[in-house]
Amino acid sequence: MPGTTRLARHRIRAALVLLIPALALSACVSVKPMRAAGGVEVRDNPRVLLMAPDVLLLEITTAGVPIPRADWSARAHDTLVEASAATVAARGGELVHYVRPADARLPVAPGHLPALRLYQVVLGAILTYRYKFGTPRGARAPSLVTKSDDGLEWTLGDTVAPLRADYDADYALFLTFRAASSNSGRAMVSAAAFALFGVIEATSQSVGLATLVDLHSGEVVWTNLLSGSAFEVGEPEEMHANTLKLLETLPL
Amino acid sequence: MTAARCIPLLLAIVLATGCVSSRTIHPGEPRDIFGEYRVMSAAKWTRAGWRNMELWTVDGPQLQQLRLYADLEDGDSLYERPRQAVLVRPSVRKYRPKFHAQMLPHDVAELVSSTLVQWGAVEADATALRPARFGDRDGFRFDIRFVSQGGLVYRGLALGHINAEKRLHLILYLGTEAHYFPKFREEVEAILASVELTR
Amino acid sequence: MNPVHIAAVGLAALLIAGCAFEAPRMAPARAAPQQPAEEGLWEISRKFEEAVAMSGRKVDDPALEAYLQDVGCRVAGPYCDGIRVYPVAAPDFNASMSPNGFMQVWTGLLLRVENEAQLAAVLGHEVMHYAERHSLERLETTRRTANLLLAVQFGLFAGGHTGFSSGPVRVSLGDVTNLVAGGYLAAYSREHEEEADREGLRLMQTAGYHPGAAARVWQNLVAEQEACKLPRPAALLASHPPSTERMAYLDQLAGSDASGANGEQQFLDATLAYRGRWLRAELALRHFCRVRVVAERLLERGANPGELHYYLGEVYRLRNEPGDLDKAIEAYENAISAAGAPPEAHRELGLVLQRANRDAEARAAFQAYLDRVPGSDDAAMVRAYLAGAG
Repeated sequence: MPGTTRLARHRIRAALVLLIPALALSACVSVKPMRAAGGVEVRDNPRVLLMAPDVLLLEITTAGVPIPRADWSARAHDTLVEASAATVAARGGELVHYVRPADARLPVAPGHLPALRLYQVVLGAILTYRYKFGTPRGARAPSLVTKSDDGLEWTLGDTVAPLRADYDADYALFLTFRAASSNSGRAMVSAAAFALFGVIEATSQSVGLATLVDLHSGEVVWTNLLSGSAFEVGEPEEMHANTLKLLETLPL
Repeated sequence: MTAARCIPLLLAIVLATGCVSSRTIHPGEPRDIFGEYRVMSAAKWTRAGWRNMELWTVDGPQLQQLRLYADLEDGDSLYERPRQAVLVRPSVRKYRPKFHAQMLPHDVAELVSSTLVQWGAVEADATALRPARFGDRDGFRFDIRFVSQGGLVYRGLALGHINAEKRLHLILYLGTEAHYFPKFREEVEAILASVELTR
Repeated sequence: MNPVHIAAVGLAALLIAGCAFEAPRMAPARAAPQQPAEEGLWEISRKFEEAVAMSGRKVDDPALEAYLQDVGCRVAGPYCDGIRVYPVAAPDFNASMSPNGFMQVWTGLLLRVENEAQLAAVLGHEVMHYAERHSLERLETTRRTANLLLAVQFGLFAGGHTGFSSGPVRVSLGDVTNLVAGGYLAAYSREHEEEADREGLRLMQTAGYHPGAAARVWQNLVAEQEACKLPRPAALLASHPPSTERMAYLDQLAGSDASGANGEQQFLDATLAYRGRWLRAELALRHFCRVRVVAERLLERGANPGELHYYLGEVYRLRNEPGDLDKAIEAYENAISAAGAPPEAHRELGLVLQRANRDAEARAAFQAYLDRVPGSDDAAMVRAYLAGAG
């Protein structure tokens, strides 16, 4: 680093050395899968409809400004699709892809809207009552005495019928992935912040969510939530490994 | 993320529900609503309660909910704490739809649809307003349809009664048109038929 | 302010002033992102656009959507292929443009503009944000500003550790530099707004609209704000030029040019059918003053006066303040005697007459409602009112 004094260089190097164990501690990826409380009906050679994955990756610049990275998002999207196809194939199934209508403002067929809209709200209930999203640390999480403490008991009802009919599919797989990763400048800032103030800042954060819906019953039969920090989301290998982790417990 | 972007209508209610300990409505046990009326349910519900209002749900209030209001007086709203407007900034309180003692059933139907819009419905309609019995007294009923910000269609029904002291009792049942509203519709009709005024 | 404060503010201002970013205008024939940062912006805009398209807020009305797209295209000229205009159900005066050409026009804006020329002025303004790639400029400016601010703050924070200032002062310094950055960014965006105003006016003029309409939009908005005492953002941090300032330069630009079309009839033909619904949405939010101001202004223009008197009646019936009962009765009576009143005007008149204890007149009004819509779904309830029950 030209222009850096010996002292400063020393401090930053010291900070980096100190930072490694700190980051290693936070460098973890965890998954939290859940299955339908009533069990999952497994079919032979299932056809799985992959809904358009919802992916957004951000780069955190040196000053902490998040910049959307279309190139990272596109790569992560492809990785998710490839890993899904491989996972489903390994279970003896076939992955079919949702087709976006051509030349339309609406990204889905109008007949599929009721299912997709209900899915968002059902997912919201699952995140609130099962994954305890939105509950401040230390606060009591909301609960429903009308639901069992583990397992999923939610359905999209017969709204899924058009999806089943149009794609001749047994299941629908929904994937969401969000990540923010620091650039090298930001990583230096983190190191400096640690050296100067003792503040530890994760260099990346990512959240993945996968949901499997039975298109015969409408039941949400499986969800998995992946959360991780400090893995390089811009790196295809790491992204691939984590995607496999997200889909590992797919009940097919 | 996707779920956050499509925060469903009624999220405020979810958060509010989290603030109180949820309790159970047991099947077959009469439930007293603030000393004003009694109802009976054949199903089990998760209950949250505030002064003058109880909220019951099975699958989550975003999907279906039963609201039982009792003894609303002039100036009360249909929010979780109908009377505790003290906690709300005057600039916000000013815009809340409120019950007025001189209201007729048509005004109450408008009160409900406007409140739903304030909670985030894109459009809300109260239709088929008609006379009905609230326990052994004259009351009114109407149907509700609204669309959430996320585009999801909800259905609802309401049974109300304005008593001699010009206080409003109101039972609202709301849920997604697909699956969750119809799921407990029959059950709710039975609850409405079970209303017994206790004062 | 102590010397450290002043130094911090001065340093920040100095550094920031050097880092504004300017992008070349979009090439109309090649409406696509030209660099990685812009690709990212288009990516999130596309997601946003899809979310709005699938949401309940997008007005599901092909005719209205086609009309807005048509006016937008005429104004956009060479940029027509790149823009997509969506009507969005939301009260309040607003329109917005995303970097990828996705434009939202709120129904509250459609309720408030008086003709196609005024609509064209707003659409032209939004098209220029797209054509001039203002979002990219803001992103780049933010990135550069933030990088420099980081250096400033780091220096100050480190300074705090070596005894320049105490802990609490350090915090307030951070606030001061953030305020400068915020104000600067907002001011920069004001330049964008002004550029969009000026260039947008040229677009609508080229498309054959009367340029004087642009200033009129802001005139009406100022009148509504003042009549209803709506809060305005602090001048330093306002992202839009103050409406009065805007009116002035738009007026000056339009000059005495009296040419061009207003397109009042075309606008009415395309929007009159929705007007009641839009007024109803604002009433649900209890924007009583604003609905009154808008309805009274629309009354001056003459179309469907009965409908407008009806909604004035609704303002007073729902507001229910002392004296409102009489005003409501008068408004409903005006509605009934004018053209275009919905049959509900009779029913609502009955409701307020009943409140005023004018029972016989209330009955007559309820009966008039039933005579007009005998098969209405609330007929049984209204008959119950007549029978003295309910």
